[in-house]
Amino acid sequence: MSGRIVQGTDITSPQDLTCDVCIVGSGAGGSVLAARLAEAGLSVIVLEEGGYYARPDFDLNLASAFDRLYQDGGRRATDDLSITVLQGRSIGGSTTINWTTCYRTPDRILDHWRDVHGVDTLSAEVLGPHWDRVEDRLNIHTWDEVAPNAHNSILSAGCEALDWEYGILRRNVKNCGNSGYCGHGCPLDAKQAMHVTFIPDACRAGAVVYADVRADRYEVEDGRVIAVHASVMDRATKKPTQTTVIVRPKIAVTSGGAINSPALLIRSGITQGPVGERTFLHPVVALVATYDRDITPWAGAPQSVASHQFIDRGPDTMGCFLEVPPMHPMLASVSSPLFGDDEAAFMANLKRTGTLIALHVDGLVPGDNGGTVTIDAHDRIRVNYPLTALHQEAFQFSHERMAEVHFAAGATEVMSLHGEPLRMHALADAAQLATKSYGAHEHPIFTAHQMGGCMMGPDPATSVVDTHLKHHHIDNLYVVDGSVFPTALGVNPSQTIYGIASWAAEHIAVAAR
Amino acid sequence: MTPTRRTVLLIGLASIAAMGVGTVTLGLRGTTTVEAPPELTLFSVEQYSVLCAIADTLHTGANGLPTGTMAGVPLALDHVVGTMNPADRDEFLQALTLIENALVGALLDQRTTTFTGSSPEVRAETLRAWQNSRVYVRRQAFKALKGLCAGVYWSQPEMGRLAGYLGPMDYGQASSEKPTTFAQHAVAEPSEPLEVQP
Repeated sequence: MSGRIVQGTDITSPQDLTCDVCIVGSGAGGSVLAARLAEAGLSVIVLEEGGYYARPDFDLNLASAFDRLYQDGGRRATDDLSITVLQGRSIGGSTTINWTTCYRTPDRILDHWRDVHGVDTLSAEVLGPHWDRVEDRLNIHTWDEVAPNAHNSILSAGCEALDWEYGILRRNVKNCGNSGYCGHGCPLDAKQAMHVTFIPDACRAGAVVYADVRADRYEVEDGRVIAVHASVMDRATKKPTQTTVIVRPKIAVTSGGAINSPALLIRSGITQGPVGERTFLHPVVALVATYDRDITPWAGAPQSVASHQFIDRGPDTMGCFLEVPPMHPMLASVSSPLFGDDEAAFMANLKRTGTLIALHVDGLVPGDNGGTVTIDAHDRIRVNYPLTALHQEAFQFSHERMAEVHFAAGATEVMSLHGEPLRMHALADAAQLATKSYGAHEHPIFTAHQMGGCMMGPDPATSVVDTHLKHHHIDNLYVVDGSVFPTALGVNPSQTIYGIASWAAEHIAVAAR
Repeated sequence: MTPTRRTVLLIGLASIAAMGVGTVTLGLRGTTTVEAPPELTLFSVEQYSVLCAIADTLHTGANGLPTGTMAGVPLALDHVVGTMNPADRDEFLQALTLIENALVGALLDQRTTTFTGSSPEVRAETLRAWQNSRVYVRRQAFKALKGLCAGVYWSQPEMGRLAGYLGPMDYGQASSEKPTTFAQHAVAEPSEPLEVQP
């Protein structure tokens, strides 16, 4: 098989294809898996519903970037619209638009998965060699060749002054130009995203990658997937054309990410076990501040500093970690509660505005079961994520901690993003944060980290795939992406997915022979 | 249980219908329309007019910036909303109806005029009431409308530059190569052999 990327416009007639392994999704899981399996000599087909966009296409225009590279044009949200879901949708998936932060899975998470959820196949020792290889391929390294930008320096300076833990991040970049456009598609190919690394590797080894082709459903017979039914998508309308693609694989792999993977199983009638349940989002809240110096929060590497000072707050509380987002005008405006003249003034001062974000670690406290993914009568994917008292307490806690960091870093005014913002001019004012409400539609909430929904585990009653990622009830179906996580991670998830995909390739290669 | 968007929007519309004859006049007050561009494919003139009024309340033209309508927000949303799932699209249009309706305004905000027929100050008060309403769905609807309008408005490079934003920058990417085929290995060349374990 001659490896290549086939785009939707290249497919002018119905296709009926066979292969060893069909992978649905080309993000962090699907791309690594495709490369590994193709390099092992297997015939591999990858189906990606998003388009194939690469450096020449990255015009860095906010509108086209969101339209082309994000799920639902950046408008994906939970069912009640309380949480904005930022998730990639192109060849490379979210790796094309993520902010390059890479972590190995923390030991405490792997221990928790083993002790609480029975996942005894994964450990730092097992994943270590796979992470080594991935880090080599993606040039993941501590990004200390350039000083953090002014925006990230708020977090480092604040933590330094407060004597809190913080660190310089590891990033998957090579010759990073510090452009600040990671979220728009890297204009320099410096980010070692999947479309410049593992997808080309897969194609060189013979894999055929179909862009603009959405897997609609699996056809199951006698406990096996016998076909993947897919539609060629029209890029302009994002709607299916009349042209269909059918793939008949020995092995089918779902790698669509933590929302689309359970949705595909549900659409296919593969609803055994808790499919769609235990969906985790690392829900993100933000706090902005004005400085008397230029921050230019859109310029430079978007994330280079993080603090895990409050990752473990003790039993029955939700921990959090602090990072910094790139604040290009659109994200700043959408996040702000202000409108009219107030918004115009806020945006005019954006250059001197800094934003901190707190990402909350869901799924670790007993009884915190996260959200659910379902399909409604209109064929819409619904993500229902209840925000409980656990979240509300954590959101208030993180608001207070972020206020401390901002003031420690020299902010002149700190502003909450509540519908009626709280404006603070000294740390003492932060006590008023206790008077505000937290939760759905009280302030913006985002997620860029979607996890769970097809949880792995030994028990078919409480998990969707086994501890080698094979579906409990479908012999030739695997799920390889962040949807298999039993909980959130407490770190940015891409490298965990890379490592698990590389590890899973070993088992899937055996099954496909 | 949290009500869904659709449920609450339908309740809102049903409550309008249930108010009876005495309030029909208020409920049927017409939209103050503006001239609609011929490119519209989804919105009616009335819906376009409501959206212009909302966009111009969110983006007033302060600080030398254009208003929402001047920036083409309503026309752009005609395309954006048109690509949504039909059920989402219907919910969006229902939200416009609720905000515009004078009866809903009277019931919830002591506003006896339509949104389009209101002064800029009343429009701003109305949107602020939706933003901070104790009725959950109004906060939902405000968030959706504000997010869509702000997203379209501030994604335009001209607006960013007026706020001091320098992007988008040119890194010469347009002239770079976009491969679809890749030099094939004679033999697969992973960095080390894949260890296939039984």
